[in-house]
Amino acid sequence: MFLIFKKTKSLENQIEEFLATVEKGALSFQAGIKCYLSGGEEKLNVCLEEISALEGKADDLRREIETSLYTETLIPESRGDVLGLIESTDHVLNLMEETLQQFSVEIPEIAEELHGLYIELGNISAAAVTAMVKAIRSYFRDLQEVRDNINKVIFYEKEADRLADRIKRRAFRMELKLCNKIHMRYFAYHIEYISDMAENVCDRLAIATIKRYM
Amino acid sequence: MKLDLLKNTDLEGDIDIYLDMIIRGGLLFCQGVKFYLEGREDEFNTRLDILAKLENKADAQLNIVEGKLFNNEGMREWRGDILGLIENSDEVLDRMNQTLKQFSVEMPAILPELTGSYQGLCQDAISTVEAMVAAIRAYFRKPNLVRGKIEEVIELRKTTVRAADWIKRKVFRSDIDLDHKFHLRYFAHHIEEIVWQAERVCDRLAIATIKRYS
Repeated sequence: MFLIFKKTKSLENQIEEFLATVEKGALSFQAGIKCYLSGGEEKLNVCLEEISALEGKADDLRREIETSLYTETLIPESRGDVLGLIESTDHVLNLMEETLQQFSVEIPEIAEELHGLYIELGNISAAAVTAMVKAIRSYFRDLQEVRDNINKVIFYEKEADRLADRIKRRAFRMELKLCNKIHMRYFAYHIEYISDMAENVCDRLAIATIKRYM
Repeated sequence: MKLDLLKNTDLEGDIDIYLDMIIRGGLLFCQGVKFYLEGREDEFNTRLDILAKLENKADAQLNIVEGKLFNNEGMREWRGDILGLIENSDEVLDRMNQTLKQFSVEMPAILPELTGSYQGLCQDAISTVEAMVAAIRAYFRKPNLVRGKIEEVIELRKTTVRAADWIKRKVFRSDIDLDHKFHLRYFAHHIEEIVWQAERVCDRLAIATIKRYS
């Protein structure tokens, strides 16, 4: 049960559905990158369709939640925080969808020896998003767990940072045209950026949690 | 609920003048891009110059609105929301100005077969901006119409994003150099960014409208 919304079951359900949608999005994102790098452009497009549908659903849910937040009786002082969390979480899902979309549009030539690292980077960014969703859930259900989940997000973000750095260093030391290196860097940056944004959501969450203890 | 927020306030007219400037900015932007694509340099430069001046005027008008908002006790409850809406709309005008300036600075070589598509993309973007302005006007005078107008913005945003996506796919599947592809993508992306900003304004507007009803 969401401790923050004792009287508003429908809002609880909407938020839970929203978070589940973001979690599924992270899985589609992870699978999409793997498919692209293993040569399955068609499979990538299946993942892209999945994540686009999830993104549309999350947008609708976000708008419903916003309406419910202002029309249903709630703890008014938490309203702004919840709204900010939902909006920034939605942004993370949008970024995952946009990144897969960019793969599909730009069909970047990723050097074969870097495929493994890109897949790993995709997995780690997706793990950061999953941990972020868990941290948000704990904000509603058990405040004691928020801190541990935020620490996981921070850990994954740092890992993604290191991995992206490794990819870029290797890419820029290859015998390739500069524009190919830039293209590879662009995609490493966008995958890594997802974990950065997951961490930003957790920064908000940390503040919102402190406010609830006060 | 007071339906017409601006009636009998000293703000009546000032906000409308400001919103008129955004509409005019959109038309100048579109016309500017059209002249650029047609190679009509003098006419392009004139539109660029007028748009830059219009943006300065809009900033001055924004200051007038802000000043009056803070001195108007009757608007106290809505001040923050209105300010947020107006300032975020200013970002839309700013993006149009910046994008047109980028055409002037970087002189991208748009492929002849894509000039019509870029023009169409600008038209779509401007339709979205116009719908955003209509939604803001409705907030002040007919709040029951806001929801429908926001839906219109969302639909137009989707159309624009699809158009930008189509252009980028064409570009990345053409035989030009990769660096040239990046350049063309960059311009499609910046035109697309205008509509994302318009939608962000509408997200704020939706919340501001719910608050007026609650």
